[in-house]
Amino acid sequence: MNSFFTYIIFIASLLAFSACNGNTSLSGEDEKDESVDNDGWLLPKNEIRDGGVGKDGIPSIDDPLFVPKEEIDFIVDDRLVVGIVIDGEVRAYPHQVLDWHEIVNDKIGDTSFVLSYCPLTGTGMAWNSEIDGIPSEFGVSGLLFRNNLILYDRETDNRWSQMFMKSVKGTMSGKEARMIDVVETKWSTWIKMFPEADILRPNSASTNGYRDYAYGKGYLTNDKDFVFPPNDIDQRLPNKERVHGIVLPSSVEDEIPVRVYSTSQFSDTVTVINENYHDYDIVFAGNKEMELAESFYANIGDSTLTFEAVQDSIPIVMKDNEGNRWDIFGRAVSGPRLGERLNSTRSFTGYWFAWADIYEVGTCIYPEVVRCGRIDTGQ
Amino acid sequence: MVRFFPNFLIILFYLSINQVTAQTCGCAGAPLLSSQTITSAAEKNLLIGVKYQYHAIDGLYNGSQKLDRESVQRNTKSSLLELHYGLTNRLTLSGTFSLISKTRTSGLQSNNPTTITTNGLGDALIMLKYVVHQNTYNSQYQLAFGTGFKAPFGDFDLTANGIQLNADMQPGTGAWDGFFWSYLSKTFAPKTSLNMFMANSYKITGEASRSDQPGDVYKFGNEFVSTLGVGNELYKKFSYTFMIRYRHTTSHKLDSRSLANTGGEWAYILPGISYKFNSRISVQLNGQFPIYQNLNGTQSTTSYAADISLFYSFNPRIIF
Repeated sequence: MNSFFTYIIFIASLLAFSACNGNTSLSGEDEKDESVDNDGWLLPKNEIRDGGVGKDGIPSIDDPLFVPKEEIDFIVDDRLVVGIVIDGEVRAYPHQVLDWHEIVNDKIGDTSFVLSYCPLTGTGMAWNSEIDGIPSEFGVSGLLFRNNLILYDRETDNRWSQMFMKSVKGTMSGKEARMIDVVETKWSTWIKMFPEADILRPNSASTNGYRDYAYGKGYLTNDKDFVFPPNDIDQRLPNKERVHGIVLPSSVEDEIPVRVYSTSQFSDTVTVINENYHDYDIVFAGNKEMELAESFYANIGDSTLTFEAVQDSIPIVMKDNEGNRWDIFGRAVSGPRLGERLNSTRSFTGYWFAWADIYEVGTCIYPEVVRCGRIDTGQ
Repeated sequence: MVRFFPNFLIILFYLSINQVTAQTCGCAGAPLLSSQTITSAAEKNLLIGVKYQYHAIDGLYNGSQKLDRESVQRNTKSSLLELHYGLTNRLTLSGTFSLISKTRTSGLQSNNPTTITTNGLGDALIMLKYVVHQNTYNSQYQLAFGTGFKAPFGDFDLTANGIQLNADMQPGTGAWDGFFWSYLSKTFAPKTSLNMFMANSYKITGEASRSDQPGDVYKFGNEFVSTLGVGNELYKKFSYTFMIRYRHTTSHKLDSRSLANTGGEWAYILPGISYKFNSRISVQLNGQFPIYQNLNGTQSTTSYAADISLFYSFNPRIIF
């Protein structure tokens, strides 16, 4: 038995000597000084998560392929697409593709832009990818903040928060992205509105891998299904309700006013809301059945327009007091302002839990104006 | 009888070194239970095995469909130390200690892939095995049961650039797990030295709080593994095994909520070959290749695994 214990002690010592302290090493990326408090992040670093796949572990699409809708056979009618129009050219990016790539680096005419979609927060948006005159591509950093995508740009390696729409770490920290208006709606609605639009198709030969859901079908609607638990649940709306939010300018960093419109409270007809919120004249247009929601500043030149809904004429959704008719991208399609375009708000649509978790106290749901307090579960 | 005994000794040798049992691959390819290669040790005998395993995880599947857009490759390198001590001729105490290295290379489609490697002490497995029926000439089967726990010795809060890495990149799980194990083998001496065996295990995983963030309580999925195999002498001191393994794991949970893209079922084939230098020392080489997988959602999964083991018996003798 003596020899037995000798062996045990020997082995235990060997283990203890060789590997008591775990360690991590990186290559292909600069190691950062972990001792620096918050390490230059504008976000609380302890809430940033490794998404599990690493930098560019979700491959962005950098050479997008577009086809007419007749060549698309994998998109389900009630799944959503993100649409964009630049210089009259209309393109759509199906969630079914974005689920697996999250980022598309694209260009229309002279405008280079990145269109991003975060499946965990359900948020899709686009911004100009030329920053300070420097063209760049964006990729998936592999990091998340409160479930939301953090992008990185391949020119400067800055980290960009999708829902904050700005650089949150790096040489351009704090710089806001120049947003480009996008429209999200169901595929069935989209092809009625813009039948001639080009549709993003995966570059792979087969689209079989794009028929499913990145986080399961239940993730889209199950209010208890999260990948990372939110900090706090705000019970004013169901967690997975898709809401449209406008992020308004603010001088107070911690209290960014966000106007939220919940399309579920409206009818299946087009609803238009004119309101002045935080001294901004805003018009919102939405349709519950189509899962359509858009917002614009109501001012154009020195005029403040007043809008009302137009039914059964999509993509035309509203008309104004001057006799103009406007489509969902805010383009005047008839009337004295034909060819003009409304100014876009800094806005996008996504799951309510994400809005509440990211913007916290600032979120105020229409029609509330003075009683915008969150209702926490404290979970 | 003269011809019988050499064959029977070979069979017993199989029983002592070749009984690969089950797989605990719930932590991205870091095996512990699967490394159990010893069914029992004779009373007061100490068996030591060292094993090095390489686990390549770079096949991307959605359900049972292979996808062609891999952008991430992973591998896990495990160095395992097995100790088996015969408390009695029927009761064996086993301990398995591990050093784990995990590598994740992402951005394979780009010109600048990023690689993160974690190294550290892995979790440890402590197990008690009881041989209900020992293989004898007159009754040629062995039946054993075991139970034990996995102790969270390993690191589970390693970071990269100060940001905690995902659970599947940690050398350890941080959780206490419990498991049950059974083993049945059958021999056919003196007609043949062929040995057939079946092993089953079920692991109930525990939870681990990975950080001070609310809800950051991770639980790997419970796991059932069943292995069916045969072994026989091949040529002189060489012998072989061939196994088919089925594995099922439930989804992992975070904050008690099931996580998409975790869990599923797998089937593998595992060919192996061993060489016995003498009565004390043997070496074994095994491969593991998936033949079927049906995963929950989309996951990277094992494309192959290979291991090499060296065993040393301090007091070699046959139990019966």
